[in-house]
Amino acid sequence: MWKKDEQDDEKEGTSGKQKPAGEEPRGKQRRPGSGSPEPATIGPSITIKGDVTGDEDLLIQGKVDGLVNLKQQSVTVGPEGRVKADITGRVVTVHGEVEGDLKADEQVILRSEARVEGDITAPRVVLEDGASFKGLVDMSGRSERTDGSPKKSSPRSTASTKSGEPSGSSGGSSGASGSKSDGSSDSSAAKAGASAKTEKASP
Amino acid sequence: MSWLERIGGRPREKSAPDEAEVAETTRPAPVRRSAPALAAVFEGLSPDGSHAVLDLGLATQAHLRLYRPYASWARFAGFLPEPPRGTALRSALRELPPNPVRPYDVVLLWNLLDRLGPDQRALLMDRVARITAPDARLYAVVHGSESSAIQPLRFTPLGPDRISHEAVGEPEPAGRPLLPAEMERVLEPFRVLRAFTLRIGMREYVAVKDEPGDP
Repeated sequence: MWKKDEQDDEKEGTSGKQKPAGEEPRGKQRRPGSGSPEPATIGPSITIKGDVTGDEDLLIQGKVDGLVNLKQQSVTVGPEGRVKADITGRVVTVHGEVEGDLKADEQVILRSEARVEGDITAPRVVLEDGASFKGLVDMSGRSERTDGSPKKSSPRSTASTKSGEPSGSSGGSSGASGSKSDGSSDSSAAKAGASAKTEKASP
Repeated sequence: MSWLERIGGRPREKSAPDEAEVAETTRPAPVRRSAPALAAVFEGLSPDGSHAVLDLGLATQAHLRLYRPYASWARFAGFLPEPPRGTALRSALRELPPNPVRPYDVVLLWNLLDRLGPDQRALLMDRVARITAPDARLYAVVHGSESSAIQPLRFTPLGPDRISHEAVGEPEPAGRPLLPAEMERVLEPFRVLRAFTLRIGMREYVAVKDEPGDP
């Protein structure tokens, strides 16, 4: 089991280097109508203070201060992402900076340029050479597999139209809740979707 | 005229290597060696994931790979390669939490003790003693010979009985080397079980805690 895991680690850490979601190499780009939506993106100019919840994969290239809870989805903190929040997802991949705990049902991956301070709870953790990590790695929830094969990812929900968990405030759609840096209402606030790309946060 | 020129091609001009390439080729490669004290730390530990590791150094995949069969919890304090000093060390130690489920029973100091002064070592060992199990095992490696400078090293485990080490940063002025008798005092309440001399002039220590920790 160990050797298979090592091989998987090697694949993920070197030749299998994954680019941030949304930057798929040619031939693998998702096309409109292909059934595999691109992840929602928080762009580099966006700052969110509050909770981010939803039912789709998320790429964070901006700043998030609060909580990120996309339990069944992949969450990626891109190279420009700066997150001060606990992140929960199915798979959590970090290229940027995170100050907070990372929890994943499947695995947490810290890429070579990642800077993470916080606790990691996941059955499988990958640290690329060069990644900086300070905190606790909790692998107590790992399942013992006789074949050593990693879990296969579950099919993504197709809906950017599906609403996520109720945010507890007005709106209830998948997106940020809580205070906004630009003072806008929830309905126009930085959703984890296209609107987040167009809004610019006030300093 | 070379064969390439004869068929109309041009020989590729060798570009001058850039500084990064030169640095990469001239930097000494990591040295691999056996680590008998590290082996002694893990000897007899049940590979059932029931243990909790406190590693005061750097986190790498190699470290996780070593600890994973034995431990379900591994805390990396990040005190290496550059240890906090003075008040930064005090606050870092204050913030070093106990393990949430069970006290740490394996502690790896690597070469941290070499980089701290006597007062700082005492602070460190006091905190380590408080958050470790009564029978916790400890691993440390220190310079054991007189020298004017210490080259900081980064240690990476290659398995339960092998390590690699490579130089990081610039050499630092060396204080008095930590000789065996002094190490026995420094590591209290851990009791030194065995010590081994490595060829690089360093000594490995494996120790076990004799006194009960705080609940």
